[in-house]
Amino acid sequence: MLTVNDDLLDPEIIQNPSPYYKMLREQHPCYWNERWRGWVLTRYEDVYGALHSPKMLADRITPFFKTRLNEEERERFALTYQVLHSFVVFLDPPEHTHLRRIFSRAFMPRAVATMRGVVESYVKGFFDQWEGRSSVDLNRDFAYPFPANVIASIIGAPREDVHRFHGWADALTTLLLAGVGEDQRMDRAQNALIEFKAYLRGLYEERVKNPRDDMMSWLMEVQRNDPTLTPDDVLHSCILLVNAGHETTQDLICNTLTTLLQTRDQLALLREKPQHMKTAIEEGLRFNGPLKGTMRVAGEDIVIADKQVRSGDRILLLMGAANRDPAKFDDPERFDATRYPNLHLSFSHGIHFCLGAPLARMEMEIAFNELLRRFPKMELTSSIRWDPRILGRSIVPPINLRLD
Amino acid sequence: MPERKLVRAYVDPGLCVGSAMCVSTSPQSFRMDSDGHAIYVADAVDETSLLEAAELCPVSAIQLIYEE
Repeated sequence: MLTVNDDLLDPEIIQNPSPYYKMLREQHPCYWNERWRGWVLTRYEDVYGALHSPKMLADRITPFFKTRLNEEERERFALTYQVLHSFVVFLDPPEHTHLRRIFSRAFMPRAVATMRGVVESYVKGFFDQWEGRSSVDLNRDFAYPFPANVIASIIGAPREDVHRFHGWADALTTLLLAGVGEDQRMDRAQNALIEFKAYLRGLYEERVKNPRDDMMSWLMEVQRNDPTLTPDDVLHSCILLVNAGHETTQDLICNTLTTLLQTRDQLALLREKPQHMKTAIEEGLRFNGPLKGTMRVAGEDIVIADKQVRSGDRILLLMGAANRDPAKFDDPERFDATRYPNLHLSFSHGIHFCLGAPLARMEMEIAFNELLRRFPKMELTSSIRWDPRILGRSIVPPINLRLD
Repeated sequence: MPERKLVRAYVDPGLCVGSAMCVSTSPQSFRMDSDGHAIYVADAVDETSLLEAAELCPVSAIQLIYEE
């Protein structure tokens, strides 16, 4: 019997998860990880099934607070609980259904299409600053500030405040995406939430007096007709939007572009035939999506791949492994910019399917078309080092590009 | 020009991600099948809720079929 490495942050697995995922898929498709204290699913069929199953609960915040924190900590981090517990990503039906419907309207494809002009002008603005330079840091000079600026425009925050979002979003991401080496991550996250919420409250109160054409004003309008939506729901949801629309898109840009720059034949193909951009972006999502995994809690006893999972057990769904399952994808270890159909799970699936997917897809398409057209000689000059995270897949900056 | 008549909807299974937004918008018209995809099941057309469901679908998987 092969022993399985329980360390999900093992440097070798972080740098190249594929062999580990393959071994789990083939030999231990539903595997109890003692160190992480939960089940790990890796096959497409099982991850897909779990994402669609009403028996799998998305609220992992309540069990975490109940079982992992003592009473003093629960009291100290009550605000963190209150905010996280209202995030639509951590809600289950029926509460989930109601809040999701409200935000679906803001992010439906037709609403996102109206943001195209804003996204295009940011992309152009950033790349204008690249002109004439011989090298740039993809992360610092584009991928980091760009999505933050877009999401700030959407919620209605002034551009000069965007730099403040970075620190808040970063503190929250460290907590939610299981960063390591940070004993203080709960304190840091809570402080960020306090500041972030106070900031948004200021914006909210200003919009009560002077409504504009932005999401904060629109949510107030919704609130007028829907007494179940509280001001806290509005503020907390804006925190979630900033967070969700920020690092994930940043990582998607970095992961996809660096993969392309290392797969020269596919890059050449895209330069010659930019009509394949849509499928190339989907392939970027499949190949190195910004989230390797997500978590669920079993709502009742359930058998998965012959293993007895008990009610209350936590489960890690590795979309990164499912996305390379040969049972679903031909030649899964190959980056194929024209792959179609490409039913990857990187935006999740089922009722928690990423609300921001239409926005992320549009941001990617506009940015990548412009990048490839304007910087035909671009080369990657940094070596890629992946940040040790359990759920996220993110490259340690800088990511240096030579442009000339 | 006379308005065309909406006769039914079709959910493209190659696009559907099972968000169930259509089921919560128009429960009389859609349900989830066992693979987690939405399917159109109505006999009678409820135009208002069908239009809303098509619009709210996060992946635009719902096609509205009009009489020729």
